[in-house]
Amino acid sequence: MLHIIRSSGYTSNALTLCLNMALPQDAILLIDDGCYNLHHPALLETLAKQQALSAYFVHQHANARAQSIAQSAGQSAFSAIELNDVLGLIFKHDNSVTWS
Amino acid sequence: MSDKTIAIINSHAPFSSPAGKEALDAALIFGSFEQATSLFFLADGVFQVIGDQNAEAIELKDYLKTFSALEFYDIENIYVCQQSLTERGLTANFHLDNVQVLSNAEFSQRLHTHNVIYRF
Repeated sequence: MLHIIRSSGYTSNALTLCLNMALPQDAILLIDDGCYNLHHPALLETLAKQQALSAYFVHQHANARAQSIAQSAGQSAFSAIELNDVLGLIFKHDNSVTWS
Repeated sequence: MSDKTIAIINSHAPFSSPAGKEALDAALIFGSFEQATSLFFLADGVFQVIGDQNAEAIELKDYLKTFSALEFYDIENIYVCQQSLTERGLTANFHLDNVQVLSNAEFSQRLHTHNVIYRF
């Protein structure tokens, strides 16, 4: 399952709901304001615990918001992708859910 | 009509936003096309299914009564997250029959088995 997050975890519970529902082998994609979650402690903690969980973010969206990944341990789990790669990611997974 | 199974996640409380009614409308439309549909209640969405609510007291049309139509559309898979109930101090008192309360893990696994997922 691909979990798409489009809002900041600091104002919305979308990130928390997603992390509660994510199973190993799932993937999380941060787009739009979801990129503000790149440093969210709950997300970093889950990614550190569940190594099989993959995480992506749309580079343009993060860049526009001055969000970037630091080289700390938890954050190497993120892969930067282009908007064009999103479609491929959706088709790669059996299903997807947009947590908004 | 397609063989794909649909999951509808409800994650908002019933009266402060139209999300719950829209989700129910969508479920009934899918049901009228005999599309296999399951309802999931998560986070504040569990407030939609608890019993003894009184929408008329705040002068709202009570769309919750429409939930009783689900069985006529063969929508029988209704899942509620136990953790969300517990966090909110709620007991398993529902205005719907055949509600299945699932642990977080079971709820998630059941959700993963659906082909198409809508979240309201």
